[in-house]
Amino acid sequence: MNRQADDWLIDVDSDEPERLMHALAARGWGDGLPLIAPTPERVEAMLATATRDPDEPLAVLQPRRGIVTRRAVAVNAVLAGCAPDVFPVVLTAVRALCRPEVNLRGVNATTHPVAPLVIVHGEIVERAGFNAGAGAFGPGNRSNATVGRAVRLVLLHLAGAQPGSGDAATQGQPSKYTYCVAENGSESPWESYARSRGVDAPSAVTVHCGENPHNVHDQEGDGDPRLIFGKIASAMASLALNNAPISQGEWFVMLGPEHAHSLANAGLERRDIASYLFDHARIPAGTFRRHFSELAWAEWMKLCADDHALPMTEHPDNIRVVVVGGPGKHSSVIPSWGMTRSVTMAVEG
Amino acid sequence: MRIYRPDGDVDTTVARLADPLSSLAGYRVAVLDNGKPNAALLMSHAAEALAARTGATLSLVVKKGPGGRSANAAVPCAPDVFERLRAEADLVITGAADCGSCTAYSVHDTVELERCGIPTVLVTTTRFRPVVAALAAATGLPQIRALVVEHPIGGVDRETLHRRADAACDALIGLFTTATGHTEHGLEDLRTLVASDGADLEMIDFDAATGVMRMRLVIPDAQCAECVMPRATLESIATERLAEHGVRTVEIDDPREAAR
Repeated sequence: MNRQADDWLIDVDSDEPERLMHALAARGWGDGLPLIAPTPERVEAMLATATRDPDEPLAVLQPRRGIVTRRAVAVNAVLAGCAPDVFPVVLTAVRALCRPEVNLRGVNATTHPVAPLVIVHGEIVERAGFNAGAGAFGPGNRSNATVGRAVRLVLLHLAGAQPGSGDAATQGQPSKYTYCVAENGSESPWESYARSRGVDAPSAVTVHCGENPHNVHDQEGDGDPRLIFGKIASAMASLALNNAPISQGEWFVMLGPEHAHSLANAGLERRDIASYLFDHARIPAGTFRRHFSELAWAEWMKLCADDHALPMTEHPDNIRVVVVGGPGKHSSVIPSWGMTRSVTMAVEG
Repeated sequence: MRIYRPDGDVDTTVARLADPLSSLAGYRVAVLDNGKPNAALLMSHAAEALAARTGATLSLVVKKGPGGRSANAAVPCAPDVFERLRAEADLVITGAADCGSCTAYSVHDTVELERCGIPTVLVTTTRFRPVVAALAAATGLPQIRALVVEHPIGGVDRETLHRRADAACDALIGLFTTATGHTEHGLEDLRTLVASDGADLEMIDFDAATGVMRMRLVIPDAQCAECVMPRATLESIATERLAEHGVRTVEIDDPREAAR
């Protein structure tokens, strides 16, 4: 049952950062970094950017069975240091994570290091000051840093994804602190990623539960896309990832603008890039079979002989292309946790 | 200074264990395999040992994926397999809860089977027992029937697994034939303790994130109020006894304090 919001008010003896952090940590709250006090005034300012009922139950987060409301998310956004203008992005990301295909219960609980990546698309990128350019994955930009952190605090506090109990990650990964980036729409040779997924809204958010970015460095491929592709494919063709035994897993190929333009100048669209990588990032079926006792494969893959080279996902559509970053010859690939699907949603309050 | 707590409200619906059986003779035992390495091997051997000892029969060994053809440990049991278990088994052994997402979903499957009246034992390991305790409590079934074997299960030879399954047979039978599972052993002790003074304890909820368990002290006869231990003493004893189940703090609602 939803209590009145006043029931959530507690007394702490000081707003001095060290003492506030200590008081919250004593109750099992926080991510280890300094926090902003979620006073009623700050939470109300955050909620002013949301248009609907702040106490409407929106979802239940597992394993703790925490009830998501706009107010509960706003409290965590304040703690994370968000400015109110990014709050609609935090809220949309949390709502996207509540979609069943994300499998958040598994994402939170697994020993795998998975963290939800939040990708921001559209006009809100510039309006709310997200960094889509140089160093977009961090550090240094408040909107990117605090949105990713707010999502993590929601998972810690509402979902109960506490290391060692609700989150059994063997090692974890740095992106579990914060993991948010913006699509570089102005330097992308293609339409917005969100629009390519059928979300035709001024601003949108994608969530993808995966690993840290794996870097792809190529200085040579400007005139020959095959050199860039070869390096991306080699970063994908690994037995060490959950994408190896789980064929439904997606890949996010985060192209730097220079690599994106090299590929676009060769006449390639997103689907061509996905097709090429589907065709070239491959490992023989027998190698998979030797390394895994249980393979969560599409039925067609089970029919393939041991010497047949299989792709790193069951369908080219699972290879997703987004343009991110600034000048330079670096891109990255973000493997999936596996039993999860990305979600793209229009930003809403 | 006043601030909002960041953990909001929780759904506190509580699940119940299915009724235990006084004897297992004639009952059908099924093994629900989540596909973790060696899980089926360990659980099938344990089920055979249980059948040989009790007169139960091993009726089904099935993977949890659609049609029972495959298993992915990181999703719930497929609905068709769940229905097959309801039709073909009276008791279920499931697992292995020896990683994170597989533990989360094995706990989920166990709770759902118990809700349907099927006593279900979840096989976990010494290293993942605290995760089972935390997730079971968060799911509303802290008394889950958990069979704890040595960690790990994957990568262990067949003979060792058989030995562990044989050694766990008494505990396995006990989990099906007693009303109390995992955490409930601790809770039952506490209830016995206060029962001698005419009182009872009920669990209200458990927050796995903070390790806080809330209980309610029930004193049916007002004349007993002064016989029962003070709240602070009870909380201290309860916290100590439930520590191994992932409980860090016990808070007891005491009707004697409200009356003042």
